[in-house]
Amino acid sequence: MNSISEKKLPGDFAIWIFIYAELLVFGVFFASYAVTRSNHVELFNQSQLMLDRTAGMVNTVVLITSSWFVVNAVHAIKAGKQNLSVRWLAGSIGMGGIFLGVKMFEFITKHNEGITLSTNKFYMFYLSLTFFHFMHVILGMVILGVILVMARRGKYSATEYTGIETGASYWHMVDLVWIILFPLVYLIQ
Amino acid sequence: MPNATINSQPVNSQQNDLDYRNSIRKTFVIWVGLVSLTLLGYWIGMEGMSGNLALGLLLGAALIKGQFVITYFMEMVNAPLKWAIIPTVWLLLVLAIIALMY
Repeated sequence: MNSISEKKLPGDFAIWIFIYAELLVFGVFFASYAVTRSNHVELFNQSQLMLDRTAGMVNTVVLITSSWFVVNAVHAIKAGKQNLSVRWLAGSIGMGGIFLGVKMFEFITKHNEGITLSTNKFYMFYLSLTFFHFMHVILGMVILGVILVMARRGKYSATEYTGIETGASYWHMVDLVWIILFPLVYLIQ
Repeated sequence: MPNATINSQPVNSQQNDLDYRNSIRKTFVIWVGLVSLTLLGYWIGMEGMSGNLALGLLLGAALIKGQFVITYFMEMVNAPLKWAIIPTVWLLLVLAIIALMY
């Protein structure tokens, strides 16, 4: 048994290599956005005003809440509460579904306005960045779904919860990236 | 030897319940902070604020939110420093680049 003072990364170590690689990719994406914007400030500011900031805010709250649910799922399994852990995981996946629904609404609205990747440089970044993140949300939901099924089958317990921590860590990365993406693309003028 | 009990519940189970409730309470406070900062950012955006003050507030809110997620949700507070520092450095670097480019 680990002593309380022993420090370790939560979950499987391999997921952290993946998470750090993902952060690097998103970091380059964000830096590219900022550099390109500095050369097209007016275009970016005007195009940004056409975005649905309320939808962006709602999705931020939804993703933060989903992350909180996942934290609670981890704490529940550590306390030996398998059923509660399953419920928190289900809630988290549900929140992920709401995020996808709101984002789809935004994508469809922009599509109906005739906006595409080639409309201008801002929309090229907006659509590609948010779609790239959208795909990560889907992957995160698949991972959480697998964990949910395994938790329901009693694969995790108060002494063996590495799988839940692994999925949770990935999901928090998806949340962390959105925490930068939202102000960068939707708010900062 | 049978496990010790209090009110017919094993002591270990009661301790687990207590730990669980405390952790939910703690993370709920973090969640409230994260949502409040999100709403602050949204308000700044909807008010159409721009300039250095708005930029500072939005990036400052993102920094605090990001570090909350890193420390308490990703549980980097329990990770070795050499690994725990990576997402924090990433966060600072990304926000610094954004600030410099604006």
